[in-house]
Amino acid sequence: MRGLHIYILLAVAALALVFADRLSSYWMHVAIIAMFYGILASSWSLLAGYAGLFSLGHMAFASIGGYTSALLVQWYGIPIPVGMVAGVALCCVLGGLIGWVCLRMTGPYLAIFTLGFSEIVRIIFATEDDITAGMAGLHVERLFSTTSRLPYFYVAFALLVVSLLLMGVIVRSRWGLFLRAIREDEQAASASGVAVARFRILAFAIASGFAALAGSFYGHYIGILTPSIGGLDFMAVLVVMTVIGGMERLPTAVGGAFVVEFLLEVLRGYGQWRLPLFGIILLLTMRFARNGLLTPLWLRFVQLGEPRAVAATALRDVPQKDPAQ
Amino acid sequence: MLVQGRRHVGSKLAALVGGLVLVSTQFVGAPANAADPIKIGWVGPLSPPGGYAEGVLMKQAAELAADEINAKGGVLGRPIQVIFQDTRGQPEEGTAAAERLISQEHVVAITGEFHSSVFLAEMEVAHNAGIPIIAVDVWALKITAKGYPEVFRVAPNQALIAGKYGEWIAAAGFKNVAFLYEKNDGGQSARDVMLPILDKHGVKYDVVGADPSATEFTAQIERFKSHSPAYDFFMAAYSLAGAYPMMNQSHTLGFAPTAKTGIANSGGPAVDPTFWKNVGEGGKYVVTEVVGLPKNAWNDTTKAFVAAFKKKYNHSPSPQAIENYDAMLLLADAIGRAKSTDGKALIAALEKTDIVLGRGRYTFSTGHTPDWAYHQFMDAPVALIQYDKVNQDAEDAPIIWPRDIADVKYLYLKPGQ
Repeated sequence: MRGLHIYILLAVAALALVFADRLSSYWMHVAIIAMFYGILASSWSLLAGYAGLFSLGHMAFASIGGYTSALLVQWYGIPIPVGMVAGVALCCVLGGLIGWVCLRMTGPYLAIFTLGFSEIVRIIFATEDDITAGMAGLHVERLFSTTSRLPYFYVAFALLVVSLLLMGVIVRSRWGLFLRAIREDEQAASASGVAVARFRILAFAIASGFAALAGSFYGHYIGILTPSIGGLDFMAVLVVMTVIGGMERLPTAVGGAFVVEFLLEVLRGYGQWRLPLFGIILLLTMRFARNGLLTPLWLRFVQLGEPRAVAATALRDVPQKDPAQ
Repeated sequence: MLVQGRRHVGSKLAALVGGLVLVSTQFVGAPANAADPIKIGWVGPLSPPGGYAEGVLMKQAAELAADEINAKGGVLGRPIQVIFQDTRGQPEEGTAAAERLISQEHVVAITGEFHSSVFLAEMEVAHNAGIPIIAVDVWALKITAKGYPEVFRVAPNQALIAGKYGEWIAAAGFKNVAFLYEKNDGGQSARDVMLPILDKHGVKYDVVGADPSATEFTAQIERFKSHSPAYDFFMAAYSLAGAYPMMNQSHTLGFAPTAKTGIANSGGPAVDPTFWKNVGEGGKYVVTEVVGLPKNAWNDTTKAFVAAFKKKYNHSPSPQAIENYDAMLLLADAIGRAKSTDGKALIAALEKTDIVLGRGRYTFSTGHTPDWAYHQFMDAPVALIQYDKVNQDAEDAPIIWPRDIADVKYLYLKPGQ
């Protein structure tokens, strides 16, 4: 039965939506945060995994989106969805600008540049406390007045699904092909007629927009924003999630976000020891499973229902790309 | 082949569904059993980037309190069990921790926390669930100003702490102050409260904000040192580990404490057991606050707590530790008087609190004037001390402010005096 995995995914999604109200408030919160990270991990996968642009400024855009929406809602009383759209629009422009500024940068240079950008953003938000309330935390109007987490669950679910669909369309289109071509060899891509500069800028703009979407939802969900959301701590968690899941596919990146977020909560009793544990898993992943731990599972999953010979051929064809190359 | 393939898929699907059912039982809350121990939740930083040094001391004090309560037979004939959650100084972790405590662990109340921004996120969860939450060492005014019935605070707030510094600086005759604060909730609110008081008394000042993670202050201190007219006081509001290198560098560079320039640090590190190990000679003459009873006013509970804490953990408790110890005893007292673990009954009992514990006689205000007064322990003790010896315990340091409890005649002891 071809496409069985799609039916299974739809069934799981339907079950999740129907039985969501049976989750305890705590696990619902964990699921919401996992979906928040899912949007961030998939959009970072688009940037770093598909286009090969290893940016460490992704969480900075999440914080810019969050603060933009929160402040616009606070100052002008605009509806929260409008504030979120404004945050996304601003980050698309800013992301495009950053993409333009670092057009000639790759690898460690790009990583250092974007790290510097994210620190600048974090320090500005911390310093301008007259506007942002600094580290004391900006009170953000919540999306719903209800005490139930269920509406947030549905909104997070919808945002994740829409984000994945939009990014899925992009990576399956000619644009996705161009992004992968840029990742493999910029000069060869350029010689083949790919507008490298335009697509690098586009990749930054699109990924930054999705990061802002996640960040603005986070602010209106938690109800308080601190500059630390744009810091290296959050970015490290995001990298761990995406790399462990598999950064070259959107579903594996989302899967990594879910697995790591749930494990972080399950292992909460181990305190700070759970963080080095993920560091070790990351090192082992980079050494022994460079495509991520979930990629082989995902490839097996998408082959469910396929004749075995076809599935085996597909599995043999799993690329083992060395990220260092 | 096709039939085999379907069987293969079928077994995988069965395993998947079975797994989902198994996992779902973990994620759906279960009702609490009446015979279980009474669970109290604790939240606070136990790992970076939070202030984990203070968090660990608070956790130890909560454990000690639970042990003592249980040794006396528990409450309502049931033992107390404290469930600890590390919040790492992050609001989102605080939300998750509070959710876990309430919906998974079924705690009847929550206490703890060292970071105001995290507590502000946690108290929203407690408020939604109708569970009482006692803030232990968080100073932001808006915590009680929000007027949530579930929220109580045993710590003094910034109006009570920074206000005392402002009045003391003016009374001690300092005229020109260099003010360095960490850009976080504690530093910002110290600045916001203290500067208007300095203005009121005509004290001049310059204000510099620093990143909470900063550990290198040499350039900034050199600029302070070369300022004209010279600063006669260096006021720092630093609650995290950066306080130690800041005081060390100020001493090494000859800025403060010197005969020309005094120094104070607000935020807690100067009364931490690790203070002298990290600051050494530079800690002598430092002024800081103690948010507990001064030693000359210690009651039996204070003395018993300090002795038990030293015996169990082999080091002195910090003021935050005794705050947390008292918070636990307050909850046990409220449960005992309410004869119930119901949230509303506990809140009503906490409002009627009138008990003498390690930090004096506890009552919670039910008034709203000023707005931060609601459920605030208004008589929370705050005293300014000044070390006059190296390796001196905070409890042995002379109290210099407020004057009604001061045990020395001077307002400030200059080096070399």
